[in-house]
Amino acid sequence: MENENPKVDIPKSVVVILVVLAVVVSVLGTWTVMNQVSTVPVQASGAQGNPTQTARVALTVKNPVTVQTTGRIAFTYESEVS
Amino acid sequence: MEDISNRTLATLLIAAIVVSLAGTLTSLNRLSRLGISGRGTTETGSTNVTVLNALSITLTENSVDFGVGRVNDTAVCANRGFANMVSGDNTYNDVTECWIESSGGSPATGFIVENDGNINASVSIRGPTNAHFFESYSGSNPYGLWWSANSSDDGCVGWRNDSTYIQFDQNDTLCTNIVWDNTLNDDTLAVMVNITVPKDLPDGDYENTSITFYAVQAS
Repeated sequence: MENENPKVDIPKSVVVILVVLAVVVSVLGTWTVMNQVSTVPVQASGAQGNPTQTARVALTVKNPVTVQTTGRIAFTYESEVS
Repeated sequence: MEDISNRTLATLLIAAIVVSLAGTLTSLNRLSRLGISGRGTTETGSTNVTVLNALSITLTENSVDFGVGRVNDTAVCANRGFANMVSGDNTYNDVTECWIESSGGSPATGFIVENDGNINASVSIRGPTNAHFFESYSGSNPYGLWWSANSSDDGCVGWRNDSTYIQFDQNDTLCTNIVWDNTLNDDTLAVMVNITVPKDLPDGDYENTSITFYAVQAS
């Protein structure tokens, strides 16, 4: 059945060349993508930081031994004017 | 060249599809594993701080001003030679009734110490010597400056010095335990000031702004 119209149909050898070319292109494309991925300056695995971090807050309250405050006493002496 | 069969052609096409899909899936898989490695994380935290002890006192009445006046030099006061006044918790008393206030002004009231910390406090007082306050008065009439704790304030729950008047130049205890707060919210203590002014004191302003109240934690 496949040889009923050989002048119109594309030769199978051409098809095979095209198919092989498709395979080669596909392989090269995949290799290129993988190669590019490996050059990304981020480690692909284990790149996450540790999600749990610890910090420290310190406060020292120094209770004063003594506190003081001051007051005022005043008066004005004004003798009787004669 | 002999043509290959359709079966061979189909096999090669299927192989091409498989290789292409496998490559694509592998690439996607590698890319998906990059995850969020480039993203900074934001974390929040909380800190609780508890201040257990805070020692603090303040003077809600920090000035005792007896105003402008002189000693009455007539009648009984003429022989006495001095005037004696006492100011306390919203009180003023011209004890000898020999002080003539020459300018209006409100009568002096005593100091009021408030414990505004959060622990009980023992408070003491220190001030000038009599000679320093009266600027080396050289006359022969009595003069002096003294203090005493108010005997009725609820703010002092310890021993208080309210039995005698004490000179300011002695660092003495006002109250061994002024509460920082209680159910009545009474954490104050009044200090009564007693002054004796001689009649022959030179005219002038007599003032001391260094009446110092010291507080330590009550034991």
